Amino acid sequence: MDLKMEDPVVTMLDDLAKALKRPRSARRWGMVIDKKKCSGCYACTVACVAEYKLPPGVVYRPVMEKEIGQYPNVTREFTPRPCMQCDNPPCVKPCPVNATFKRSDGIVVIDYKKCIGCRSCLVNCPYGARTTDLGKYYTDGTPALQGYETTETYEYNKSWNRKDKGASPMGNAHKCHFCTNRIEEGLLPLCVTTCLGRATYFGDLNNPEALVNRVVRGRNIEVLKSELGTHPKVIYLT
Amino acid sequence: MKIILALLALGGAALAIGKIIIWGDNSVGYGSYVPWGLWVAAYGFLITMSAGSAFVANMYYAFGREGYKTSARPALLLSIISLVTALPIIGMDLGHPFRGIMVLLRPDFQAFLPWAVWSYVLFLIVSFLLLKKDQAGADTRLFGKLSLLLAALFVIFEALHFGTVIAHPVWNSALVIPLFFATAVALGFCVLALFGEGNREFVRTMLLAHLLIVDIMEIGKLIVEWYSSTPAMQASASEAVASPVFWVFLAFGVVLPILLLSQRKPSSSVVKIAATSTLVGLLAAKYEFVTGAFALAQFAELPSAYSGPGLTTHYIPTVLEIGVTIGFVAAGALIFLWSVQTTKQPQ
Repeated sequence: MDLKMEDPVVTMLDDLAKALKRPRSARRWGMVIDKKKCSGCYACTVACVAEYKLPPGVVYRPVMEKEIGQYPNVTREFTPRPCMQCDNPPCVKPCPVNATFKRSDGIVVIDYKKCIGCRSCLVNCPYGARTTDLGKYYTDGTPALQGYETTETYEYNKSWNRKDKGASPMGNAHKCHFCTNRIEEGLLPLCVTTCLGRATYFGDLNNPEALVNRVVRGRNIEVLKSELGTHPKVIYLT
Repeated sequence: MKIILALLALGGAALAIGKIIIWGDNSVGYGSYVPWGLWVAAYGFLITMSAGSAFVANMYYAFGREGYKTSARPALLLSIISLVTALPIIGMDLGHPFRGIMVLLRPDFQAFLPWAVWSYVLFLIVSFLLLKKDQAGADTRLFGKLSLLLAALFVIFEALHFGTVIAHPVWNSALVIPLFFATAVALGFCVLALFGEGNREFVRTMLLAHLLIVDIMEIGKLIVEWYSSTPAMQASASEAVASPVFWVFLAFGVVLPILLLSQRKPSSSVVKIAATSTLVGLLAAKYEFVTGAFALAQFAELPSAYSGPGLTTHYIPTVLEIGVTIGFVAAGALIFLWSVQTTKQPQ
């Protein structure tokens, strides 16, 4: 059996390897989410929360659920909502200390050590894609913090932990970063690999032959709040 | 009075230290879907009041208008102290309060906040020098004009900080600038009414005129939101009407002061009551302005997509937020009373 023909994850891994051979500024990472395939299993949400040990109230990829129509003609639509990694990100300009910026490969990142926690970026994101770390633990009010709440996690190619009260990444803005640390190691973002219905595609939008571009052809596409001119790099197939 | 203010200030300071050292953001009511709450509203109000007071003070210092002479000194002091009180309040709002200084030291001038912060610093320097010149009986015209210009600039930058937010249609309008300006001038005339001993009829007329402008803009804003087909605008209007804070604005910022100031030849105490009522009403309006924008999440389905603290559009300030605000404002009031009593009156 030709595995490449069977599983889009393998194809996307190949595309990723090709993209990584080019300089960072020649890549333009993007995501395509097929709403017709998404079954609302929340595997992506859970995988992301587990990978980054996200504390209470911080989420990078919630799945929004909408009921359409009236009984008996009712359907349920699921919309996973990662950061849109906008080409024209409205969250970047209002940051007073340049703690959030767009990298040359188009990913919008946060420098946790610079972020002052003013939440101007949260207010300016029209997708609600940023959350704030209020310094809470799942085990608040219980006798002891559990290891999973203070253990090391990796974001932006750095190690972080939540052992010291008030130290970054506590008090900071947080957002989905397309698993920058994983893609630079040749791995796909976790939400892509854990998607049970293979509804999420990821790759270099600058490569016309990448799967992320091929799946869009001939399909109806949706771009959230396109009227705002933010030019998101997350596209939905409807 | 001073003892009560001192106790409130100490209580506020204790809560502030507790927030920084022990509780952190764990103890606040705002979160991800309502990122700004009472502290941002209080900061915005105090900044606007600072600009309004600077307007009153500099009508005398910059342009020599005699009608403003008796209130010029207290107005300038209030302008400085309001600003100095606003800054620690917004500092408390930061996830990393001690990094706040980086806005000044390592600013990114693409954002409007650093422009505002630099205007505050320059305004404080110029206004201190102005105070010194006034105490020395020297010519105040140049520093008065500079102080007025910087006050106008920080109101504009504060307004732009809100007005350029495309994510919130309730704010995303150039009308935010005249609204903030009109509020500042109305607050300035409140200061004149409270501390001035000049022409009462002039103060009454000017306060009434500027209050009417602010009220027309505020109520007009609500009507526009109510009639809008944009869900965020409609939600903001609905939440405003359902909120007791809006009714505080309507009672103390519209009905009571307009009734009092519309009287023919009201007494000095009636004008002072109207001015105090206006201060309360416009504080409520500022709170509604800030929090009303978050009445609806960016997607209606978002709050139910994932649950956790701060992932809600429901916001009520916590005891800590209220206590710190009252404490810091009490500290500012205490410093103001002390400074008015200790500084020499102009000759």
